[in-house]
Amino acid sequence: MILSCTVNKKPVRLECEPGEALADVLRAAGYKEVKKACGTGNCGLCTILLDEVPVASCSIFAARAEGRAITTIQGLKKEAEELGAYIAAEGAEQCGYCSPGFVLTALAMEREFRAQGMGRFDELAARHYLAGNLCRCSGYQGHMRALKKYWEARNG
Amino acid sequence: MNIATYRRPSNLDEAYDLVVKQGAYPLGGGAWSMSVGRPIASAVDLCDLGLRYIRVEGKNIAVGAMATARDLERSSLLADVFGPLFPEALGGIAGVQVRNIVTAGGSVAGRYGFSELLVVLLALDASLVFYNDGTRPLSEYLGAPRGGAFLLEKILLPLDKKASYQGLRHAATDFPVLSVCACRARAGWRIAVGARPGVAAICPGAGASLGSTGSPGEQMALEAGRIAAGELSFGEDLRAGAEYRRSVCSVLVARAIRRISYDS
Amino acid sequence: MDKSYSVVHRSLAKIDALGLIQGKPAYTDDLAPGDALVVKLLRSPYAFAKIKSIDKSQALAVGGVACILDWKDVPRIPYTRAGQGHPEPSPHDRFILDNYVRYIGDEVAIVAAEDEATAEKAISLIKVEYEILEPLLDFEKAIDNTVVVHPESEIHDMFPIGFEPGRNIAASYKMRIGDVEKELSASDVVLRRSFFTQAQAHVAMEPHAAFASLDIHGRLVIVSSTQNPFHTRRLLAQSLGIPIRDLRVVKPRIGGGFGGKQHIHVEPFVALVALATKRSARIALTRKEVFESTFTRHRMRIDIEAGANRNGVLNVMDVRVLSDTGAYGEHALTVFMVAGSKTLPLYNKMKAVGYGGAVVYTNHLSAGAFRGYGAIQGNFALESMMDEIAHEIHMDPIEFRERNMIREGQTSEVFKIMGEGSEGVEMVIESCKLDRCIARGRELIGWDSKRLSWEVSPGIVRAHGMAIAMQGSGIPLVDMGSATLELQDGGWFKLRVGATDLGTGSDTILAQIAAEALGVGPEDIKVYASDTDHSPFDVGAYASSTTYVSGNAVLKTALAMRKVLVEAVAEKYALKPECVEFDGKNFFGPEGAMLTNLVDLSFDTLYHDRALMKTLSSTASFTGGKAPPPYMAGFAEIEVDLGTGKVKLLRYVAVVDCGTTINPNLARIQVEGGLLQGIGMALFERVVFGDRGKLMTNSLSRYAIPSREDVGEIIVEFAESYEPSGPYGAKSVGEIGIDTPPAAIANAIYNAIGVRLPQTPFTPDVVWKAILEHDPGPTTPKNLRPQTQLPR
Repeated sequence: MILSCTVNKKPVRLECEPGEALADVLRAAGYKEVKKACGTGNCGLCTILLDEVPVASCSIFAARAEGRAITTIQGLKKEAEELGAYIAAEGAEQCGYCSPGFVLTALAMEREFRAQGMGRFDELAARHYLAGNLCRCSGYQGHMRALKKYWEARNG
Repeated sequence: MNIATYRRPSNLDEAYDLVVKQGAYPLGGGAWSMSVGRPIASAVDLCDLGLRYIRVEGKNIAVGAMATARDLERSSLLADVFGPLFPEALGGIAGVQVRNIVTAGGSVAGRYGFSELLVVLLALDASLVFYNDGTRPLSEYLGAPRGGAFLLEKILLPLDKKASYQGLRHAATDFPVLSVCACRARAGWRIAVGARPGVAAICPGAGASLGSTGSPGEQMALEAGRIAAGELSFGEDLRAGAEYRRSVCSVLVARAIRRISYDS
Repeated sequence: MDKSYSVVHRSLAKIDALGLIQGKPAYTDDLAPGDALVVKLLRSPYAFAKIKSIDKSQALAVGGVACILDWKDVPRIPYTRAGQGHPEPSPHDRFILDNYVRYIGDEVAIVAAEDEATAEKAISLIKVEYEILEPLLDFEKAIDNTVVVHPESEIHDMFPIGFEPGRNIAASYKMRIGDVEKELSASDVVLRRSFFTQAQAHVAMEPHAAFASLDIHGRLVIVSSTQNPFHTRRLLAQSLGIPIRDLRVVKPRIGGGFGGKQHIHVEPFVALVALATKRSARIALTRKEVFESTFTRHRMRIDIEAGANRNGVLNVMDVRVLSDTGAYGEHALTVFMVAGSKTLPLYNKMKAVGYGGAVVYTNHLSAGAFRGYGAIQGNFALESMMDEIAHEIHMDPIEFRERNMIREGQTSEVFKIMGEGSEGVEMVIESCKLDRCIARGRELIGWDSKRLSWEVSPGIVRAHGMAIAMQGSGIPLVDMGSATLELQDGGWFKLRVGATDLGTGSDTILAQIAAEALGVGPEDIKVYASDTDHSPFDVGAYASSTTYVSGNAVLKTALAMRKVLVEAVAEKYALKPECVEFDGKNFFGPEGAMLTNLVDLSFDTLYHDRALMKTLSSTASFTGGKAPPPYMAGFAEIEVDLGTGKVKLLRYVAVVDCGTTINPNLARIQVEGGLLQGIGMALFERVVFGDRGKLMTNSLSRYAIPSREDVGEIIVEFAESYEPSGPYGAKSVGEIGIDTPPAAIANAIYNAIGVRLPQTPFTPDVVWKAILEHDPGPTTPKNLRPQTQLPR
């Protein structure tokens, strides 16, 4: 089937099988920033925003995206660069393979936290929100240091 | 996942026809089907039926079959009625990116042993509304053998109950080793236990042992835990053995009961 | 020592950070050509079987199938997949494909097709007739079992490693220092304990991937997510039976390795397809395949007998190890050796030490290199034992360690006797701040020997536990790294290295070292790594070697480059080189006269200086005459739920001596990341096999790794030392972080519940059972009595 949707605000038509994982369809179409590491929804690396909401694109079938708006990290370049600079300042991206999914989820989290009116950075809430974004290199501490500084710089 | 025919009806009648009359496979969130990867000859996507809602309907809260785990977790309506119950019970399911996919209806239809939602719904004595096929209590549905096509429209939750969830996991985002929900209503208590590893079940004896007392004391809670552990069957899987689950059941049941007592 | 650094010892961001964070295509599978054939593997459903026949006819008839290769179609050359020096200390016990399959997931056939679905369809149509054999699944029963995992005659070792395949022994070893029996009988207290460590999966986020093609010269070019391109080139050439010169291996960015990519797993398959079809061929393993068919950590049983005096003197340890290498013997001997060689020297005052045992074959997937590489297994046993002895003689576990541990200026006989596969090298420890690590760690955790556990609420107990550890810095006189610097027009330098950045940031710290030595800014060093056609030789990233071995090579190269620059200027201005000074920007002659600057020099030597024109470059290599160990002390604060047995890690304090931190942030992340892997191994990571050898934990929903919610506070500090043999005083930091959590957490659990857990992981059911079986009554052996009363 042909999947019509937008990717990073651009209308696209992607060839796919309806039951194919959205992650595979996106990678085959050249969106290599969508990484895939588990295929079972456990690691968060393939996270994309579907109508602004983070979803594991390995665990959603492609046909579900019909008519919807997909955002990959490349669609949030400016925001990713800004948060990315804090992560890089900690050296916390390490191998970087989990970074696109992590950064997208963190940006979605920021939006939700702001909407809830969070004032000071709530590290426990952030750890909970991001628990589905696994990283095997960093031990997560550097991520959390970066997020705290980023939050304080923007929302402090 | 290999889907030979994919259809996406826009009204319930059409969906009913495909699922119930023609035997097509209904897709809720689809996450579990994806990860299992079994081929599906004919799939019906329920996402355009307007079933994604959480709202008050008369004396109940109605949860549409396509409401996601994350919808339940974030619902202010559910929070007003049940406090932190839903975020506590569902917040441990993988990550937000999966909770934004998996649906209430999918959990019910899949009858997954690991399902935290089923434990909570069972304790709350939820009812299932099947399109064109009436309303049945969840307990009756789970007690009956699988089979027979149906189109789940919504889940009805009572408004007048308090419940609390206790779960145990190896790792924070892992499946639970055991899930417990204790629910207190005017009529009495309902205790449900899941991830035994079998599907959620009610502990009638444990519930009855608490009578209609609003805040049972420490001894009653412990006793109810012991009864619950004794009246259910437990099994072994990768995460733990039956003996351990039985022991932890008594501890978690007592804690769930205590939690409600303290909170009220 | 000069500590006024301008580029090293600074937390610069990784040079590739922003590109990676934004998801730029940088990893192997991102770069594979779109028209490459997709390679998939048919794998064995049986733990042990002989292939009687393979019928490929139906599969080959599927449109879009390019080729199918089975064991009859590939060279029958025994080789090892272990990325190690030459000759390899691992037995050559593997064929690319064989007519025997030795574990569930072992490769049976290689299928190449136009797309994945076609390849999978073809796989489902291959008919294999197996003669199913009884598998050997219990490693404690492997030696001299009637089941022989490797009956084939062609396999061999490269030098004596105790290889006896007929007895299911991949390697064995024994050594003795002093008179073990005499020291045991002369000790006040003798304890015997057995410890077990489970297999652990690496779970690098990027699954193994490679693609291959033939270049215009007909050479085979392999792009692979590998930790060691040069070893891969050599091993691959040997396994394929082609000259090394006909191969080129390129490493793009790697999505984590941890030892899991220190082997060749997928390269031979794409290579064979490319050779057979003359087309590009790509492979990317699924996570299930990574779990089922790559490697794990070696499970081990470690028996220790130890003797000590009541005054706190540790006299003797006799250690016997049985290690399970699974179906093939990659890293069999060397991991086993490290379990002793990078643990026992911690207590260098023992009068006698024994170490020995065997590494055995079973019909499970292979074990291989994994961060810690034996040291974490050995450390769990040794550091659990140290606490056991301390309790037995009623001494604070820290005091007992401090009385017996190694200190700066000292040595251990073990260094000389035990190497990796052969003898070790003598080494006097010139940098060791273990004492500072312990002192600072106990302060940070709030260690109080009178209060190592306390009840916070009914049934909830908190406790402290600790362990110390050491690792190495490369393998002395085995590992070698090289670097090449070349001045470019515009006054910047190309730095080519064979070192392999796995995501650790090693490209960045190597650039920092070069910049520091040259006196230039880090932006003037552009790193290229790693490509066997373009990089100078380096063994690759493993054994905690990059900072020390490759870093030293870069330092030597940069110092040589300074000399080259100065000589070029001297020649140009007809001066003696000793009269020319270079400050990183400008060159000065006698009496400080400005001669030229780096930018002008770069243009002059390449374009203007007519007969004097030349490329200014330098190359240098380094091999360590020793491997200075980094040290650390780890302290755990845990909370045990006595009702459920659940252990929560509330705090972990790690104080590390890795010499100078070249990049403190990156060093810190190395420790934090290592700790979390060790914590996962301690608390819940577990590789589980079913009755018939099937791996049950074959997905991330069945094998959990720690998430960011699984740990509380992690505090990492450095007790900096200066290692004279290291670049700017640096030692390694890649592995040390993983070693202490199993023992420190086990020691804390003992302090909480009074029971010694001899086997990792400490899942709630295990702890619950220990609590249940614990009898604090008068018949309890003394060494099992908790220091504080078991809270109820």
